[in-house]
Amino acid sequence: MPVIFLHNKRCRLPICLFLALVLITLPSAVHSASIELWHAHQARNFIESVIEVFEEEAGIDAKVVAYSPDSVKAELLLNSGSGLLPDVIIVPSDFLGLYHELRLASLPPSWNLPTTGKQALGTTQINSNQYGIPIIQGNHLMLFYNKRFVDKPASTWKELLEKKQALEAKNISTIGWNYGEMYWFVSFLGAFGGWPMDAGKITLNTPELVRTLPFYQSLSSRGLLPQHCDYSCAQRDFVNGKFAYAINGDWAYADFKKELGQDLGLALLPTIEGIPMQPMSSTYVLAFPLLKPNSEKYEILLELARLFQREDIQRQIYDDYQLLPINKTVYEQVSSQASGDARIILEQLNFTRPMPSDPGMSIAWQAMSKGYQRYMNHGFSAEDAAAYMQNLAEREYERFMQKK
Amino acid sequence: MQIRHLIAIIIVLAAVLPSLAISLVMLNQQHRATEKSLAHELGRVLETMSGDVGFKFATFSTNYKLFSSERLLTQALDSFLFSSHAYRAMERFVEQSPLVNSIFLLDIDLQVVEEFNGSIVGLENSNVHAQLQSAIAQKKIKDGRQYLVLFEDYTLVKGTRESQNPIPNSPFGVAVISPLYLHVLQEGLSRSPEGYLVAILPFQEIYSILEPELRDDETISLRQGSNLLASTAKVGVNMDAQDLLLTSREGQINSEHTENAIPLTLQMQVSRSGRMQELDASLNTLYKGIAIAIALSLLAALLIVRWLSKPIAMMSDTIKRYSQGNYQPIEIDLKYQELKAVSRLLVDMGQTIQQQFDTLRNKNIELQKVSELKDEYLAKVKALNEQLEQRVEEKTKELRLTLEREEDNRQLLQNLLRLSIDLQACDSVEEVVELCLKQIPHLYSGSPLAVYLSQTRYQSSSLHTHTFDEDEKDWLYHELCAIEQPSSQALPDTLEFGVENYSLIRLASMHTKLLGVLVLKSKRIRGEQRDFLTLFAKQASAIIETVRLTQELAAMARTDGLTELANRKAFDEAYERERITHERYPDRKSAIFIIDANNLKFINDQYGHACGDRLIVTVAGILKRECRKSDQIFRLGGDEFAIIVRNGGIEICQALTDRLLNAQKNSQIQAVRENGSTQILEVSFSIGFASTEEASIGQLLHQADKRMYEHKNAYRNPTETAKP
Repeated sequence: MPVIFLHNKRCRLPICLFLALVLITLPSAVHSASIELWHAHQARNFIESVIEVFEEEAGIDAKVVAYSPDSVKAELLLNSGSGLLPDVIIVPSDFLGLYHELRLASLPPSWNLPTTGKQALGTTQINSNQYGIPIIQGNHLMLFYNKRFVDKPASTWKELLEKKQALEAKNISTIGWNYGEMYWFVSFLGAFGGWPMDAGKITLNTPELVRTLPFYQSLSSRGLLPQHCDYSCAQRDFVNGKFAYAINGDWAYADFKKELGQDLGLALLPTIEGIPMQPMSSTYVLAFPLLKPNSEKYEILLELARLFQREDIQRQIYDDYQLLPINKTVYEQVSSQASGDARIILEQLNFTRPMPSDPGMSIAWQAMSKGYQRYMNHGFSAEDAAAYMQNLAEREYERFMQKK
Repeated sequence: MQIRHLIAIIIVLAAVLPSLAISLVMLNQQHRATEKSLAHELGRVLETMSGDVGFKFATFSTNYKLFSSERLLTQALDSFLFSSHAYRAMERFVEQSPLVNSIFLLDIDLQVVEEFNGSIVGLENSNVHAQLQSAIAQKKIKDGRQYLVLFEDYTLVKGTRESQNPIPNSPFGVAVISPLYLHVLQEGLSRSPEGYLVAILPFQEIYSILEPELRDDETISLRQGSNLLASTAKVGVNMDAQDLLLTSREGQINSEHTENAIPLTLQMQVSRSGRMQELDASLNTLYKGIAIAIALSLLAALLIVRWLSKPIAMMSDTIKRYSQGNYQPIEIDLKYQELKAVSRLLVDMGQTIQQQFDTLRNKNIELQKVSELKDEYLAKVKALNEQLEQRVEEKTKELRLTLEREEDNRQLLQNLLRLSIDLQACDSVEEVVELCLKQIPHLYSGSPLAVYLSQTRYQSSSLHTHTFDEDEKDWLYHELCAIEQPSSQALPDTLEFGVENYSLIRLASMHTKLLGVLVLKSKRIRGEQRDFLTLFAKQASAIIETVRLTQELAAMARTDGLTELANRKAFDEAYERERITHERYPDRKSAIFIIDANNLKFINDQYGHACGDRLIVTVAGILKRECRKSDQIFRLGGDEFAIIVRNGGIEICQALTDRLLNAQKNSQIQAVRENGSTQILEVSFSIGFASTEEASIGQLLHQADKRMYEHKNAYRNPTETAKP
């Protein structure tokens, strides 16, 4: 068949051009590699913009897959079982506790740039091994409000309850957040002096948690927010003006600012009878499943890790998305020059507590969620729910460790 | 009955009755067809419902089987970290399965690993848990087939027991249990489950499939044999037995994937009237057709009746006109020969009657004219009578008013005469005034009265009234004082003050000197009444003048003309009164002074009596000036004066003596000699007093006189010292 084409003079020129093109591009196609990145960060634009820079600078194709935050952990675990994991993932630092299940590679110190903050690096280390490269920090909850409905933001939960009736008269709900999600619940637990883990041990059956549960439940039973409020309350419904306030993470700030513009207000989380709430803070990290030192992609991924840590990229991430940098120089500049909303984001960070990266943390999240459901929907008392959480977490942690 | 009505009835009946009979037959046949159609419709509805339930359950069962093979469920059983993933999958499954209310994931020990929308406590307490254990033990759950259990605990589903199934001792729905396997083996090899899925299908969800087929008042119930399991209506709410239709269909809940089946009878209770509404719509069309046909028959019949009975009606009208006196012949077409003959006869009769009526009408016109003349005459007589009666009435009224006025005047005159008699009895002007003020207002319809009295030698002018207010009184007094001035004009008849009117009646002496004025606060009083009051005023004037003259004479008899002091007669009377008073009240002190002007005789002799009179007047002036108002001063005669001192203790008497002696020191009179030369003479008098504090009342005069002479002797012989 090619012979026939070659004898056809009208077809000769296009075929020659095609063959020339194939010959020119063949060497680079053979040597180029592509990487796949999974993440579940809401401000996905910041990841995609850095990846674009990476593609331009390194000449490497990168496929970015954005998962729902609710399902990313299960997806990773499922795919880990079948060996179908991506080259790199961007996850909260507590995922690193599952380094065994996610087949994460331990990274040598040379992967860190000297400008990366020590505290941020600390969130990536488990048992003296580093399993991730921090790229942003913060990820803490804030109080957002809509200035069209709120002149001066409430500083206490009592104030919020007092403002409920006036807002409802305008057909506006007071506040929304992902009520059933434990990342939000832990902020309240912190105000009561509790914390899910202490020195590597799960600490759920505590008087602090027993006191937190009824207070948390009372917020919905008193009509401050619907009991079935999910993440859409804190995101879509807040943007659409259905809620006057929302509790959401700093990752949502850029989207809110884009949608609400000058109407967006930012404040510290309300205090509980004068005691500040204590949301978790963490880093988002790059982690590398199935990475092998001598593999073809090793250097590529190292380059990616360094790019994310680079000062100009860190500054760009902050400037464009208000996500707090892990680069010491940039962070110090940001801290000293912060004003307006940026200053409030940093102020709230001062009231946070780092999220443990221990393997038990993942177990604790699940156990808290199940105990919470039993308290809210199945008639468990606060004491029974706390005991249930603790027993379940310990039992499952034991099973988890046995499998290792 | 009229002939034309009879014709109408016959024709209408002939037209309508056959149509009506045919219509009834058609309606009967249609009704039977409708009943048959209703039965067919109910059967079809029940079949549809049964099919819907079967189809929905089969769809659920197939999906459930597929869902049971989801790997993530067994992974959730294996790893705690997957449980939230399983939760979301279960959530999606429930949301996409209309029959399913909640779902549970149980491990091999039948512990709840995860659930969505379910009640863990409800499941653990329900018979499902026990039946599941029993079924596992009996190996009824096998080969991935689903096992059905009727659950009996309402807490498995949210909502009250009543809202779910009000029938006592009945289940609330079906629990579908599916085993979960880790490995997929070849057909025929036995496997052991890793856990179980339990889906809860409440009857409420089954009703939600069936209810769109039902009307508001219809119910569907689920039965097992004769036992009622569940119903969409509350127990005890019964429809009208006459209206109730029951239709049943045997069936069972199962599918190709279920191990067992649950037999259920679907029974529908419908309202006959409700269901018949649609079918009645076709009957309504028939009813309308029949009604239109009958109406058209009726219309045609009526047109025929109208055509046939028109000549009879015209003849009837003609007779009615004749009976009402209208005999004018009208050209009408009566169609029938018999009616035409009757019409001609009537025309002839009518002409004859008309002629007789014309004669009678002429006679009536003449009688009418006579009657009109009579009425005109009677009207004139009546008008004259009325005029006379009016004049008599006016005269009578005038006479009555005159009589009344005369009677009033007579009464007034009589009262005034009576008042005049009372007037005669008055001894003082005050009594006259009081009588006038009391009586005259009664005689003049209660009009208030004031009495003005002119100034006399002994009294200033005064105004007396009981009823005038102060402003009014001041104004009136001022006006009357002004009128009394010599320069003023004569007394007017009336005065006006604001809106009030005052009639003035003069009180005058015989020499027309104004004594006073009667002032009646009233509108102008009539001539005669004013005359009567004037007459009364004259009598009152006479009385007042008499009283005043009498008083003046009495005063003159007791007054010294030169000094205008009381004279000897007055002293005697006063001394007697003082004596009587003292005898009645011995503690009251009294005293008498005797004063005698010195050198009177010498002055009279040297300078004449005029000069002596000046001495007397000067002494009297000193006494008047120095004495208290309560002291009474008298000139006893010649150069001798007396003073009666009330409350006259010795101390008071001595003080008066000192004042008098002190006053005389600088008192002088100018004397003119006969040759015209003048000389200043000292005024001097001697004083003696006596008080009841030191002497009896009867000795006072004597004692005082004695002391006066002692004082006089001392004056004449300055070497002697004597106290007054």
